[in-house]
Amino acid sequence: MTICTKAFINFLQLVDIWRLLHPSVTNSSSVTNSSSVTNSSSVTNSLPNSQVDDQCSIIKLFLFYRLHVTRVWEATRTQPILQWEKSSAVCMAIVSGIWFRSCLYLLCVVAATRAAIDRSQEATYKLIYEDIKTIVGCYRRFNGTHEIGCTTGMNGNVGVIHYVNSTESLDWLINSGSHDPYIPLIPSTFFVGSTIKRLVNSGKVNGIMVAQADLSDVQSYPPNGFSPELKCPNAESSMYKDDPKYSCEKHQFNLDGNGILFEDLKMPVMLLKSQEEVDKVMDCYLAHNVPSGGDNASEPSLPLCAAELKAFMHAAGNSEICLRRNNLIRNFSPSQYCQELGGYSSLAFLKETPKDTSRNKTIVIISRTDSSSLFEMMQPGASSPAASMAILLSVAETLKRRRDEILSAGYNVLFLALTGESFDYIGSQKLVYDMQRDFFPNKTSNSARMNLADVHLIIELSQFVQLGRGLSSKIFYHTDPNTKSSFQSIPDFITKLEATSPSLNVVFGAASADQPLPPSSSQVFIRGLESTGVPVIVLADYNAKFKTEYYNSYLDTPEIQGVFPNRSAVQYNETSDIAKVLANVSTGISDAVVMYTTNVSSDSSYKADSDTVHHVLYCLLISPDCDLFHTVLAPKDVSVVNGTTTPFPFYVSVFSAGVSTQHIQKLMLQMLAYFTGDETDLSEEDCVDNSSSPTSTFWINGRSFANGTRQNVCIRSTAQYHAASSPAFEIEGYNFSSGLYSTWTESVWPNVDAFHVRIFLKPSPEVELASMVAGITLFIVAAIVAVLVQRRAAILFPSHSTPETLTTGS
Amino acid sequence: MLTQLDLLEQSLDLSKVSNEEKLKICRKYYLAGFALLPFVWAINAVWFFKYAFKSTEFPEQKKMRSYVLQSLVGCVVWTIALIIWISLYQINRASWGLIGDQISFIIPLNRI
Repeated sequence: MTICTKAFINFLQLVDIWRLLHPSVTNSSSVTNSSSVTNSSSVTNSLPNSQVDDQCSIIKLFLFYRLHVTRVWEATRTQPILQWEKSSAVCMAIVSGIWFRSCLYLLCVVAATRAAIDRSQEATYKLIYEDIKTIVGCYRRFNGTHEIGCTTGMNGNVGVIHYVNSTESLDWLINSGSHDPYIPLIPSTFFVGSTIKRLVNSGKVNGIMVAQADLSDVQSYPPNGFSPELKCPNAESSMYKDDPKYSCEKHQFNLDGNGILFEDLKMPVMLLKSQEEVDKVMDCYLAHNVPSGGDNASEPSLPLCAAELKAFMHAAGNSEICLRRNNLIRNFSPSQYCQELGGYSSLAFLKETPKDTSRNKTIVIISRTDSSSLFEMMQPGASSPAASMAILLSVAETLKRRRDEILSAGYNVLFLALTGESFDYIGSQKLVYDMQRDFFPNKTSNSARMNLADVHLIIELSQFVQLGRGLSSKIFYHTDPNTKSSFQSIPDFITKLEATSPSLNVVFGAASADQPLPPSSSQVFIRGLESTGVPVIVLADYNAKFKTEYYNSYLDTPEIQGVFPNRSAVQYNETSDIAKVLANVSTGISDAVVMYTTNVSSDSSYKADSDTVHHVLYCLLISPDCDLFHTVLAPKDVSVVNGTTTPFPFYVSVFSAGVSTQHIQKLMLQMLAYFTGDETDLSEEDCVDNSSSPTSTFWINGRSFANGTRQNVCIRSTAQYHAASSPAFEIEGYNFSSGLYSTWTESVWPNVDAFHVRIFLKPSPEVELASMVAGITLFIVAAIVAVLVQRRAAILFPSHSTPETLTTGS
Repeated sequence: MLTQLDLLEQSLDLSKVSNEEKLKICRKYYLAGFALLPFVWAINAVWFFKYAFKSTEFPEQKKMRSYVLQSLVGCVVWTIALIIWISLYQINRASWGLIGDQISFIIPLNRI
C-alpha cells in the first residue's frame, strides 16, 4: 500500500515540478535518447508554432513519465515491500505509461498529418492554380418573363484562354480553334457588342474575361463606344409601345446600344481590373497558347493555359418564380433566391403645402439618379445621370432665391430625383401609382395630397455632358407629338425658354417635330393620366439620337465623356468649363420658370452658381470625400464619405424596406434638403420632426469655415424619400407577364466565393488518363499487399499472433 | 438459459423456427406492408420465397404462398408506381410552377 501511495505522490510532485520548470524543460531532452522523441521533433520543426508547442508539452510529459517509472522501480527495489504492492505499482506505472505513450503517438500523428495535409493542400493549390483576385463580375437579373445576364454552375466554367483583340483572332477562335471550350481574354477596346454576340453564339466559348481599360487613356476605349443598353431603352414600358408611328423600331435613341445587358449570356463575364493580373494571364497565354505558323496558325499541343470562371447564381427563370420561392420555407434551401431592384427617390417642394389647403399649380422638374451596366457596382454615370443631377440641384438652389415671387404668382415647384429609371422607370412608376391612389407625397404626412391633375408642367432633364466638349451648345426640347397640342403651357414655357438664350452661351431649340419623346420618366406620367396626359418638356443635348456612345456602360467615365478629361488635375475649388456651361443651362431653366410663372422679364442678377454645379460634379464623379458632401450630411453619417476616394456607383441596387442601401440616394436627399431648405437656429435637441408640420428637419454638418471647423445647423425642408419599389411587388395577384409595371429583380449569390477567376495549366488527356491509371494501380497494389501481409501476419509478427494462428501453428 | 440476444438471433434464423412460427412472422410482415411500407413487403417476399415455393411441403405453406405472392405483387406495383411518379416529377416539376415548388423538399439553385 505504502509504495502505491508513494508512487502516486511522487507522480503528483513530478507534475508540480514539471509545471514549475515548464520553460526550461525542453533542454532536458538530452536526458533521453529515445528515437521516438527525436523523430517527432524532426516532424515538429516544420510545423506551425502552436502545434510545436502542443507537441513539445506532450513530449515533456512523456519524459516525466519515464522518470516517474524509473523512480517507482527504484523504490520497489530499495524498500522491503509486499509482492502484490510491488506488482500493482509497476502495473500502474506501465498502464499510465501506455496511456501516455499512446496519447503521444496519436497526437503526434494527428497533428503532423493535419499540418502536412494543410500544407500540401495549399502547396498543391498553389502548384496548380493562380488566383486572379481583382475582378468584377456580371450577374443575373430577371423580369416578369425572362432571365438575363451571367451565370455558371457551382463549380464554375473552365476554358482554354485565348487572347482576342482583332477580327482575325476572333475568326481563328471560332473557325479553327480545336481546344474548345475557350475563355477569351478581350482588351476593352475590342469588348464590343459584335464581338460578344459572335462569341456567345459560337458555342465554343465558356466565359469571357475583359481587361479593364486604362481610364485616363482615350485610346483604350472602344473606338465606336460601348453601350450594353437596348437601342430603345425601357422599350417595354414606353408610352409608344403600340404606337404605329412612334414605336421603338422607328425611333431608336440609343443607336449605339448593343443590348448585351438584356441578353441571357448563360456564361460568366469577368472584368479584370488590375493591369498586373492581366499581364499574369497574358504571360501564361503567351508561354503556352499562342498559335504558331502565321496564316494557317495551328494551336500548340497541351498543356494549355486555361481559366476557371465562377459566377454562381441562386435564382433562375423569372421574377415570378424566384419571388415565389423566396416565400416558401424549405429545409436545406437558402432563404432568398432573388431581390427586387429598387431604392429611394428623393423629392422636395419649393414650399410645403399643409393639409387641407389647396395646392398651387406645380411645375415638376425631374432628373434620374441611376445608371446601370454589365458589371457589379461599375456605374460611373458621367453622361447619365451626373450632369442632370447637377443641373437639378443648381436649379433648386437658384429657384429657392426667387421662391416668394413664384409662390405669390400661384405656382410651386417640385424637384424629383428618381432612381430605378434604368430598369423600366421603377421610381416614376411608383410615384405615379401613389399619385393615382392619392398617397403622394406621403400616405401619412401632413402635407396636402398631390395627384397627376395637379401637375402643371413637367420639365425633365435628360443628358447634357456633350456640351462640355464644345461641339455644340444647343439644348433640344422634346415634346410628345400626340398630346402637346392640348396644352398651352408647353408653347408658353418654350417661348420663355428661348427668350433666355441670348444672354447665355446656350441655345434652346426644338427637337425634330416628327419624333416621339426620348426614353424618359415623363412618359410614365403621361401614361398615368390616360384621358389627357400631362404636359411634358424633356431637355437634352441630343436631338434624334443620344450623343453619348456609352449610355449605361461601365465605361461612361468623366474622362471619355469630356467632363473631366484628366481626373487627377481636377480641383474642388477650380470651377471647370463644363460646370460653367451647365450652370448656364441651369440659369436658362430657372429664368424660364420665373418668367413663365411671374410674367416678369429676365433678371440677370439671379444666375445659377457655377461653383455649385462644379462641386456636385466633383463629388459625384471624382471623389465623395468632398466639402459639399461633408456639408450636407448629418454629423453621424460623415463616415460614409470620409476617406472614400472612389466615386459611388449610380446603380439602383436592391430595395430594402426602410433603408437606402446606395449612398447616392442618401446624398441626393441631403443635397435637396440643403439646397431647398431653410436654415433655422434650432439646437440639435430641438431639431426634430414636428408631427403636425409637413416639413422635415435635417441636422447637418454645415458649411466649413476658413479654419476648417464647421457650424452644425438644423435645416427645415420638404425634402423626403419616396420609395422606388415597383407597384408590381405590392399588388396582390399581379400578372407578371402583363408588362404594366417594372418587375426587375436580381439573383442572390453566395456570401463566400460567388465570383472567382483562376488560371491553371490544362494537361493533355493522355496525362490525365495516365495519372488516373497510376492512381488506380497504386490502390490495387496496396490492397493486394495488405491482404498478403494479413494472411502471413503469424509469420511476420510472431508476438502479435492470435489464438487461431497459434492453433493452426501447433 | 437463453438471453434476449439469443432469442432474437434464433427468431431471425428462419431455419431454426417452426413452420407455424414462420407463417406467423410472414403474416405479420404481410399486414405491416399495408401501412404504406412496400419495403416490408419486399423483405417478406424475399425472405419467405424459399419456404413458400422451394422447400418441401408443410401444412402452412399454402397460406404462406398467398402472403408471399401478395407481398410480391404489392411491392412490384409500388415500385412501378414510384418509378412513374418520380419520372413524372423530375421531368415536369419546373413546368408545374407553383405546385411543383410546393411539393418539393429541396428546390435546386441556379435552375428552374
